[in-house]
Amino acid sequence: MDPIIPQKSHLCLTSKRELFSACPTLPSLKAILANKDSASSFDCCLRYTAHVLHPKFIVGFTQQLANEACDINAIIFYTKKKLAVCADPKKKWVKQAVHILSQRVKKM
Amino acid sequence: MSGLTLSSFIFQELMNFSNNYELSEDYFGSANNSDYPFEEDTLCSLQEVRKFSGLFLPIAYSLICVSGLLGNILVVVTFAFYKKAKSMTDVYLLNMAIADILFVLTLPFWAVYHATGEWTFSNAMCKLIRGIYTINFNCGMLLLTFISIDRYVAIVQATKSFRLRSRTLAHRKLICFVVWAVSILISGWTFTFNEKYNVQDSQVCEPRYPPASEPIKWKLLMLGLQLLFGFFIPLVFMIFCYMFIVKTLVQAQNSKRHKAIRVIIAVVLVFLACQIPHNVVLLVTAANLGKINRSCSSEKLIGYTNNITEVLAFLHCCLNPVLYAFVGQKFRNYFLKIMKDLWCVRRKQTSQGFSCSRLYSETFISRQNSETIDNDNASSFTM
Repeated sequence: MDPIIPQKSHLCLTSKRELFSACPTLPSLKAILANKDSASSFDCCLRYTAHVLHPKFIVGFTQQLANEACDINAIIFYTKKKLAVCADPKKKWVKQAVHILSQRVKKM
Repeated sequence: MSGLTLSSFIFQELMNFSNNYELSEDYFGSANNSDYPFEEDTLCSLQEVRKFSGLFLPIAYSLICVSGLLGNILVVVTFAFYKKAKSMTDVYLLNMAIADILFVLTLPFWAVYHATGEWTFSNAMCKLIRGIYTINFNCGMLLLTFISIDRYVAIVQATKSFRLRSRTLAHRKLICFVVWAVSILISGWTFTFNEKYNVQDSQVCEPRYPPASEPIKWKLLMLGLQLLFGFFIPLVFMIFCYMFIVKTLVQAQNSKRHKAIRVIIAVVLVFLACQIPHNVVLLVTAANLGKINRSCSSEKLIGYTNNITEVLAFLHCCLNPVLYAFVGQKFRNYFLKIMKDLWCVRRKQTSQGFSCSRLYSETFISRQNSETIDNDNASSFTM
């Protein structure tokens, strides 16, 4: 498999243990993911944002898959203000933002 | 592995896209918006629901597990000690007690799952516990259905055709075997689809469907199976059978008919009270499945309601021993005798020579048994 393509849906958030070693510049992610405990009632994206989010405000992203616990495919962007914004993976800007974020991780 | 394939597929798509376009952050414009101000488009956090279920479900599941084990083990023990007890609808009651025991034995695992918020056991345990849970839930429901059919044949059809009755009643063991086989068949998917995987940075034990096909169709199919076998089939048969039974009993000249009617009403009401709320939640979930723009507050409400109604539905298997076994005079007689015997055995071991010696004699018990069986052999109700 192409090494550029991340193996996991989490980018920069590979696991609880690796979180901070992989993302030294992104301490705000800790606050976003601090209280994650998921059993049966999952945090899900229910809709997509109608706005375009600039990558400079995004500190990381995860993927939501419709065949798992939630019902729609979505990209969840984590912003500097500790918000988790839901975006449509089919939208152009979302694809670009994901690409830019992936590049950013690669450089680190 | 399937999830990984999908995620890498999406990434592939994203990468292909980026190769085709010159990429720069300028694409996003001058971006004078300081950060993201639109909270309605954010992830719907069910943290408060999880806090509630993390406390409520472990307590509720423990109570159901303990009382369910107690009642159903007493039923199994009674049947195990008294071979003559197997003559009546009791084959169904025994099987239902076994299914209920296996079902409540999975509850401690779910209690730990909700208390810790993570599936701390292995992937194999995830498949196994989900499988046992689903098989025995479906099996319990199908047995309730066949008990109502059995009683219908015994009471309503008995007056019309004795041959039909004796033939049907002879096939109870076969029917039980078929019920288990069907339960395993319709629950087989749980072994395939449930697995341990990472969602939102925690290990969960949930179904994960083939990514290539329509995941919503799979989810609907599974919900549909659960609603059909776990609710609608038992509901239709119970309503039909018990309605005709009550009609027959009302016309009958039997001194015990009032008690029989009361028991039937209790059986049906408990089924409705326990199962309707949870199945309404399942129907709402099915109706909402895959819809975009659901509101977060209603998701929270469904989350809370689902927790409470599920506990109510599980409570059913603690009430089955009371509603079906202990309600019967004959069963209670058997049960009391066993308790006396066990108590006397213990007394005998500790202090010799007590009034128990006469009670413990085999002849006395068998004489009593034959009397009770002859008395209410006419009805298959163990009342």
